[in-house]
Amino acid sequence: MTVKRTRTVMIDDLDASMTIQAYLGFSKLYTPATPKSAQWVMHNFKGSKVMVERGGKRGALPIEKLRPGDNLLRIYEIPADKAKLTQVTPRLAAELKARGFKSFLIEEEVQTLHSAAAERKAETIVSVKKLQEKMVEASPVREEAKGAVEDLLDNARAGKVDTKQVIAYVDRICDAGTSEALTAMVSLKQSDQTYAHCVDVASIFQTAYFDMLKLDGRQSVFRDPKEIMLAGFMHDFGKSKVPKDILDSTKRFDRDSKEMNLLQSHPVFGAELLSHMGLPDHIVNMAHYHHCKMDPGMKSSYPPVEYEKVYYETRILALVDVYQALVGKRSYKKSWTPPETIRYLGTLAGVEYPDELYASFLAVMGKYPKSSLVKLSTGAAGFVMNVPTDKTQLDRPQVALALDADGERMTHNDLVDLQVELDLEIVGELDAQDVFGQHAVDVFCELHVA
Amino acid sequence: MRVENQALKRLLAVSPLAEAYAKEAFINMGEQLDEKLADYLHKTVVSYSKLTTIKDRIFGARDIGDKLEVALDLMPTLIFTAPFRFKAEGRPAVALRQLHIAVLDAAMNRYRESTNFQTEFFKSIPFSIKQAELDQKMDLDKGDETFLPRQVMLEMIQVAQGFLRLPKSGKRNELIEQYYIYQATTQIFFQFYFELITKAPSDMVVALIEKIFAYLLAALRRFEILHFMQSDVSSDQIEFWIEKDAANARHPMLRKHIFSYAANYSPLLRAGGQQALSANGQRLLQIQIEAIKQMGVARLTLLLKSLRRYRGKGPIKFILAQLQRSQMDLLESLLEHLQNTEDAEEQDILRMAAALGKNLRGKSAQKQNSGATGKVLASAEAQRLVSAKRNLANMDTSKMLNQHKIADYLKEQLKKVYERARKEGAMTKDKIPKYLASFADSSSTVLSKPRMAPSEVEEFVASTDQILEEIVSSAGLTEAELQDTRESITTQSKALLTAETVEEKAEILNSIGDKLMDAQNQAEEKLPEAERQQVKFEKLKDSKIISIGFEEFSPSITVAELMSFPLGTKEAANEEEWFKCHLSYLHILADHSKIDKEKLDNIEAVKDRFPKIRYKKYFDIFPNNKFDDSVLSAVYSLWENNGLERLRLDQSA
Repeated sequence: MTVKRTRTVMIDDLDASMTIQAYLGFSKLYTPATPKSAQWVMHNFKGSKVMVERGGKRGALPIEKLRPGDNLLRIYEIPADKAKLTQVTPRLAAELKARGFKSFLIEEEVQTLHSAAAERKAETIVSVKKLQEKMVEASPVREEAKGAVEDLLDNARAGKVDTKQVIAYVDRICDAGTSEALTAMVSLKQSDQTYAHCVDVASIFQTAYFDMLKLDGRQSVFRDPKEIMLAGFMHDFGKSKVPKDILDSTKRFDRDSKEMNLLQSHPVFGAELLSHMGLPDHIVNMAHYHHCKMDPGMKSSYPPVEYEKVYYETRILALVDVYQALVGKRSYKKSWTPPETIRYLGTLAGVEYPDELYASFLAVMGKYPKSSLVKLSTGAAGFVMNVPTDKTQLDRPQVALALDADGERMTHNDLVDLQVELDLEIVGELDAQDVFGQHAVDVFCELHVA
Repeated sequence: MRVENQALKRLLAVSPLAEAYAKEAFINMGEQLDEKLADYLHKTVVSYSKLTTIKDRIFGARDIGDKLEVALDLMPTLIFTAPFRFKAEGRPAVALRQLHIAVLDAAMNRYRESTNFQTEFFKSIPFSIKQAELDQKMDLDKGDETFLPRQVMLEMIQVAQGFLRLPKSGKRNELIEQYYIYQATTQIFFQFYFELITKAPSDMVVALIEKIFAYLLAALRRFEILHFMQSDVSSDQIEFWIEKDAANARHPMLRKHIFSYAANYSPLLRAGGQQALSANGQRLLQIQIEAIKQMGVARLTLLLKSLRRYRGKGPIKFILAQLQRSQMDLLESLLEHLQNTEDAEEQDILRMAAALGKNLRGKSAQKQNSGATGKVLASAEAQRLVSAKRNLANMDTSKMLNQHKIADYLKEQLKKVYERARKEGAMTKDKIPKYLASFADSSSTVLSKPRMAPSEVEEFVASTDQILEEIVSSAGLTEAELQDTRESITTQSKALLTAETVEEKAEILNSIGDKLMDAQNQAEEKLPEAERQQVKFEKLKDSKIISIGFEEFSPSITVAELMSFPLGTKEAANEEEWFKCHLSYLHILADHSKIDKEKLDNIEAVKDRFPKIRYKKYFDIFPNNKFDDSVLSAVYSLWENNGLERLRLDQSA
């Protein structure tokens, strides 16, 4: 169900669903109006009324009585035949901005809370089904891609660089649905520190990158999505110069050990190899500086570089790299849940990377990233299914219930919208792989969300 | 990039620092400079084809890359001339500085063993050459272009002139870079010089080496004085920045360990200075000292004069002291030689040597008078060797603990003693290693002997007595208490005479160690209250807690480290509740049985004595009144990686 409502908006907020009721804010061209601007307004808004300030007094006048020198305060009661000045189109918005109009009283149709929630729920159910299907498809692709990355590094170690196989998987994974599915799978499947890591990082990077670009008002430096995926795949290519036994070791090496020195050289090795392969600067930069921090004095920042030289893309990759490293469960270490990791990254913001970068990452991934297993105040637990579009409500996503308060699997998985169910809240998070073991992905894919 | 530069870049990639700098340098270089540098390398390598002794090797190389590699191997000076060769502004100037640093770091790895260069150098000087002919060949204007030493000298002059032209800078990073360039160049060329001097086949060649290096070594000294000692920012200040390694003052790449590596390259230059050498530096220094001991008086005098002229008195005093310890015949010959000269520089060295020589004669005379030895030995080293051989012959080695077993045993025992001291005693951390080291030293002698003579037991008792005296002097034991402990140790030590197995001896030593610890604890109990409290506080600060999370392998930190974390809920934490978050967390640890309740009480009792460190930002580990492991883990990660330094404002007690 929809209702009509009026409100005041600024020029940049105008959109095609709005109808202008009155013009309210004006630039200096109209306050006071010049002979030229007064004539333009009279001509174009013929039949409307204006409110002006003249000689310190305010008053409403037919538009024909507007004089140069009047301070224009409002144009209203615009005749119906002037629809081209009231029905918002991108062209009109651009024209009005150029002409110096600043704010407007508009009318728009809005859904009632109930219908908005219902619509959102329906959309989520559709997207969850799509995500589940993609996850089933993507699961074996991830395994194969992991093998391809391993082969690539092994071959490079033997002096043969052949990216064909990897590029084949780039083609298969780079559609948005698959990378999103792989992103959601990060906390549900076991990983390693190199091969699956590269695949997962590439997927998360691609998923987050476009949304962050929009938020930050930036342009992509990549030619196409394949290049983004390739950059993610290749960011650790320098590890091909690190002996395999060191790379695959589950041991934690001392900071000053020879092994750690070698491992920490992988960004420099990678940058060199990728530049020799003729890859673009931004991809080389991503391999070169993805371990660099805003504070170059940090021991965990290498190789040494001024942060200005680290591209925006590389900065995002650095965040994603840590995110995957912590969330990706490995056989020899405790993994972190996605929400814990998001909070961990939040603590490091302002020291390791700029606060604004983290804010964008948070807005895109959410406080509870998709597929996080969370515990609700009722005692039930479920998987997070969306990132709220209202960024002030990031802690109130939609949750598909999976376990009841007694910890029993539910056969019917209700989708709870925490923006509607205000008496409910998330009280904690669980490690899906601790709860469901190696079947975590299956449990997620088998949810009957309704 | 031109093929010559590609080859150079590859050849520089012998260490991570050199590789990183070379990469940056070639990125910043720009096409023009790239061309010029490649032309220069090409031209110079081709010009080496004139040098009689190495031309075959140059011709034999397949391509310019290989030729360059051969050239760098045989003529190391080439690589140092390149960065000084061009004038540039902006990014290319930065590129040249980066190239320079890459060259120096690579050289320190590449020329550690510069044997090929030395061989070719000496080979190029005819055995039967006369001084006049040599002078003619070395003439800079009309000399012999095919003569390798002349080419080396020309290139060294270029390097020297480059230093004299180096512009001054006020920027900290540039100053640190220039300081590195100066330090590393000095170390590398002094090492070339030293090795050539020690291996030169004749005094005429030594004189030639001196001539070749003199201008460069003088230029470096001049550079040091004018550029750093007399400038707005002194070398002391730069060294302070490097040593402090503070986040806001250090260079992003040329950090403390890089300078330390450079200082240990030719350690003789730093010997006698304030900074300690690394283990590897000590080893290299020992090699240098051994080489010096093999020198004749004339060559030694020349080396000392060069050091005095170009490096000051520190290394000379060090060398003389070493000779005094282990090569007094050489020192005496040196004194004799210097006494017969009127050269002002040599007179100065004589004054330094004479002071040492005087002590030496005094000691030597004492020994003779005491009648301890029938004859005067050539050196203390030799004396020690003879004594060691004699002792070895008297030993029944079958029952001996070997060196490794002793080390293992002591390690195990000391670990126990240390644990005990740390947990129970009030001993400060400074004293523990000192006393334990003394005791370990004495104990190792006991364990290594199959059977002890009464005099050896007496020596052991004397050594423990010395430890006891130190304990008494640092705190207050009464004479009766001291006597009691002393007697107890003497009685136990006598049992060492009859102990037959190592285990028995170990048992006795352990008991003596315990007795010493008890004495230490007893002594510290008698300290004035304020001092005792301070000792306890220091101990509490240094004690470990299981800090981050409740997992089995959670990392542990000390109480003081935890209390230094910026934990809190506000930008500027409330003075009275400064440690509220820290203590709340410690309570959680106590609830999880990760620390004793008693320790928690102790920390709470002295919480106001911990420094309140101010930061730009504080972290709430209890969001929504619930402990958040991830936030504390992140703070720990920042601390572990020096990230908190950036947030730190000041420190107030």
